[in-house]
Amino acid sequence: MKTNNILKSPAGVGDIYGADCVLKTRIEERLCRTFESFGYSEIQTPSFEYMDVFEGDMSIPSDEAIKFIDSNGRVLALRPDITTSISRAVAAHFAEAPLPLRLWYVGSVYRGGESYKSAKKREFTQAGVELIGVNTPEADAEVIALTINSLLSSGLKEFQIELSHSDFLRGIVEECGFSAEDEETLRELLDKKFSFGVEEFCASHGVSGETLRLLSELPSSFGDGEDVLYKYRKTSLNAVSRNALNELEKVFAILKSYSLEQYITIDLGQVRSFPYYTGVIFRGLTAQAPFPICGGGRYDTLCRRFSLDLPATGVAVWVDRLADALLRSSLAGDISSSPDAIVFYPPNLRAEAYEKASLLRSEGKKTVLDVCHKTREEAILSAKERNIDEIYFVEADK
Amino acid sequence: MRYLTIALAKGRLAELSVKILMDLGFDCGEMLQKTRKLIFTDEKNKLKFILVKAGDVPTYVEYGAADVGIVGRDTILEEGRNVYEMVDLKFGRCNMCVCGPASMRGSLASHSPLRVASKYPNIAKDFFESKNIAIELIKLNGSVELAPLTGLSDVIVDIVETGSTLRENGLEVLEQIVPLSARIIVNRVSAKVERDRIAHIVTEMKNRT
Repeated sequence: MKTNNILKSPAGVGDIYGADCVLKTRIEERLCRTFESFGYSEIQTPSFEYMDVFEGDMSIPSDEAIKFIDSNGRVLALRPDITTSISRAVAAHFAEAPLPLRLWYVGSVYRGGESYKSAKKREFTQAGVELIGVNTPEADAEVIALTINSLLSSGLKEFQIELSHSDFLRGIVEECGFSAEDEETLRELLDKKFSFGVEEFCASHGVSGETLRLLSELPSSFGDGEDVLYKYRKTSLNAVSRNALNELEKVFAILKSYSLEQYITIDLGQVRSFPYYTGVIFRGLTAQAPFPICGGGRYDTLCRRFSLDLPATGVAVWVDRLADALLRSSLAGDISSSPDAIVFYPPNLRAEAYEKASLLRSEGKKTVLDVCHKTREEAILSAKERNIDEIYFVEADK
Repeated sequence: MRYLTIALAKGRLAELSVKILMDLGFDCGEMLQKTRKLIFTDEKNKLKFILVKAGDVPTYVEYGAADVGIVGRDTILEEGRNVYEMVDLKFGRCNMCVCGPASMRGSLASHSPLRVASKYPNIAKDFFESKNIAIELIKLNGSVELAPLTGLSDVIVDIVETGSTLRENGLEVLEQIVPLSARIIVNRVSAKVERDRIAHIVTEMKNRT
C-alpha cells in the first residue's frame, strides 16, 4: 500500500482529537455521572457479536450492519445497536437477578453495511441506559426524567423530548386490514408527514369515515403535550389506540408531577424508529441539531428473542450530535486541549523541576515538564505556539 | 427570533414560488432580478431565502442548512433524503415516464438487459426493479431524448410536460412512472422546534395553490 493511502481512514470513520475530543469525553463523563446518580450501573458488551443476535424482525435492517466472517465461518457484525446486545447479556447473566435492572453504557455503534451510500458516518458514540424488568408508567417516566437531567448536565439548555406511542397507529391500522405491503406504504407516507399522500392512499384503499379522519389528521398531530392529549381525549378510538393514549397520558402526568413538562411535547404521528418498540417512545430535539440527539422507548418483547421474558425501556444519547449541538449554540464551555503550564529547567535541576510540576499538578493545572532543555527564548516561543499561558523557569539561585 | 431559511430550486419552480411568497407578503422579489447574490433576507419576517440547484434542495433541508425547501417531486424521489414532505403545491405538474420509439411499445421486457438513459438513475433503477426488468443504466446530464435517436440507449426515463419535444423527435411515452408536482419539504427537527412559524408558511402556501 502506498504510504499516503494508509494515512486515510476508511469512508465513514475518522480520528477525533483536540477540542472535539475534549468536548466529547466531557459529555460522556457528565452523562455517565448522571446515569450513576440515578442508581444505574455500568455494563460493557463486545464491539462485535454473532450476526444472529441482531437478525430478525425486531432489530435494525440487516443490511445496515457491518458484517465479517469468523475463522469458523460464522457471520459476525459490528454492533449496529447496543440495546440488543444488552438484552442478550441480560438473558445470559441476569436471569436470576433481582428486578428491576438498571444498566448504563457508553460505546460505539456501527452502521452502513451493504446499504452504505454516500460518505455518511459509520461509527457513532452512544451513551444510554436500560431499565429492565418493569413496565409501569413510572419506569417510562424515570428514563425520560433521567434523559432530561442528562441533557441538562451536558450543558444543553433548550430542547424538547417528543413523546409518542408505537401502538397508537397500530390500533388505527388494525381497523383497516391492510396487507403488510400497503401498511408499509402508509407508514412511509405518515413518516413523511405527507397528509395529501395519506388522503390519496386512503381514497384508493377504501378507507373512510372515522379511520380516514384519524389517519389524515395524524401528520399534524404534534406539539404541546397537553393540547395533543386534549384533542384525542374525546375522539373515538379502538381499544389498542385508546390504551396507547392512556399510557401516554399517565407518563405525561408523572413527568408533570416532576415539574418537567416544559421539556415535553407529543407527536402521535412519530411512526418510524426501531421496530422493537412496543409502547411509549420518545426522542430529543433541539434547534441546534438537524437530527434527533437521543431516542428511546419501551421494548417489552426484545428480551424474549433471548428466551427471557422481561419488559424493558431505555434511551440512547447520540454523543456526537449532542457535541455538535453544544458547539453550535456556544454552550460547549472551555474545551481547550492545551496544557495550562509548562516548566523549563537545566539538566542539573531536574529534581526541583519535577517537584515544581507536581505542585502545579496538585493545584489542578495541566502541567508539562519540558524534556528538550530549550533556551529561554526557544522556551517562550514554544509555549506560545502551544497556547500555554503559564511558563515557569527553574533556575539556580543567583 | 432566529432566521428560518427557505431553499428554492433554481429555475421555473423558483419563479412560481417567489411569486406566491411575494403574494403572501414576504420580501423576496429581489430573487427574480439578475443578481449574483446567493442569500436574500426578509428582515421583517426573519426569513432567509437561498437559490440552489434542484438536486441540492433536499440535501440542504435534510442537514438543516435550510429549514424548508420547495422542489419538484422528481428531485425528492431521486435524492431519497430523510425529510418531511408536507405539502403538494400542485403547480409544476408533469409526469415521470419511460419514453422511446413506438417500436419499443410492449417489448420492454424482451430486451435483456434493456438499455436505459436518464438524468434520474435512482428512479429508473427502482421502477425497472419493481417490474423485474433487467437494465443497463446510462446516466446523462441533459438532452436525454438524443440517447435513443443515436442508439446510445433503447429507452429513456425523463420528465414529460406536454410531450412536444418527444413528438418532434419521433419518440413517445411508453409507460407512466409517477405524477410530479412542486412540493414543500421540511427538516424533521425544524418542523418541531419552529412548529408555529413553519406551519404558518406551509399552510399559507398550500391555500394559495
